Amino acid sequence: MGLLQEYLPEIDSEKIQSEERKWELIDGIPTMLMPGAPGHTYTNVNMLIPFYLHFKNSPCKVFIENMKFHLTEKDRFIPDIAVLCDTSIVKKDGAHGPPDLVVEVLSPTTARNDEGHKMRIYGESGVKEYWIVDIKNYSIRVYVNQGGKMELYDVYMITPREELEFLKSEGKTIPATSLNSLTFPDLAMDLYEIFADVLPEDY
Amino acid sequence: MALPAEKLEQRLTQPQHNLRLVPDIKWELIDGAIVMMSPGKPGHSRASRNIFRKIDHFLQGQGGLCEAFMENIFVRLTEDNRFIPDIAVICDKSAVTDDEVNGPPDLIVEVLSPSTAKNDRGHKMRIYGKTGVKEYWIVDPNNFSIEVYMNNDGKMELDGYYAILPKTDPKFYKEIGQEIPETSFNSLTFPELNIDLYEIFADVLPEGY
Repeated sequence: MGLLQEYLPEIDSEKIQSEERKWELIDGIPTMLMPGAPGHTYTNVNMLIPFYLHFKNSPCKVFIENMKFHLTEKDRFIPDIAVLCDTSIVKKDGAHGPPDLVVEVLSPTTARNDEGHKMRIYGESGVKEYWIVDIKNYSIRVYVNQGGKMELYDVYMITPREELEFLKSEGKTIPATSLNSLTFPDLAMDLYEIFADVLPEDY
Repeated sequence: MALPAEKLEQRLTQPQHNLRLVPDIKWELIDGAIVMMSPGKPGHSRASRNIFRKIDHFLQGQGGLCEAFMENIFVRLTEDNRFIPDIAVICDKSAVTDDEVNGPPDLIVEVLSPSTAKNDRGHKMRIYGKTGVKEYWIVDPNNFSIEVYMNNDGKMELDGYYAILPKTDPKFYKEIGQEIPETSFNSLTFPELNIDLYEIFADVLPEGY
């Protein structure tokens, strides 16, 4: 984990109180941040590498489940991964304003919020880009902010080998397995790397 | 006999009603583009069939005022958007013509597959919202989940998320104080229509799940 500690921004460890880190406020309801299932954690870790490499020498900072974003009176979220370029909005109790990019990895207990309330609030508060990572479909859905609403831009997905052959033979469009961020065009992800630890044999 | 896809595309320069001349090919018109439909995988078909049975049975019990179609009917939403939903429930029977359904159904169900996920969550969801479909379910046979979207002023908004967790997980989530998703729900448009995810995914769930 040396690599990761190296790039964790200092403002994080100095200013954010540890108690504050464990709670989110979701539509006015305090919600405990939960430990993820193993698949969730592996995927998170694999995603960090490209984020680290891309933002290593950038003024933008990457936060991994360790920054609370105050978005409305009733909404203070701690995204799985967030990229924030204007770090002047970071105060003692968290960032007061939206990050530029948010990544949420779905789990059964968070999916409803990730695709519903949180997506709405991220849109309304001005997050530019939002990724939903689905570890059961080996998929990333990229949403972009259009006038305060998150609109689906594309779905990236690893297709099982057998189905891939079938789709090819039918001349169908096959979902892409690598993506570039729209906000940070040089930030690239290869789904085979991200899902390396959770992908079954027949993929 | 099926025509190759290129031939069919050439025909598109002709008025679109000519496409009825090749009824043995399944295609949709999505945002003005012809998209051929592929047969689904067994998991997809099972989930789809199980939901259809449930809905169809329910509607018959209600006296057949509304009817359900399964992957076999054209729904014309706009000139450029004519979809074949996995399941469509229609109450306004005057919208059902000899050829198609002309207008938005009350309830649409789409079962995700890799080649359709982008449209099901993107373009189709937008069109269903804009044209006035009341309720939209996205069924995910890999997450054993159903997302229920309701039309709010022309936009589909997530109202409920229902999922079956592996046997070991609910205990884990309860211990850490998380709310686990329900495994059954009632439609909002048809309040007496109850869907039990264990029934829907009965022959899709892995052994011991």
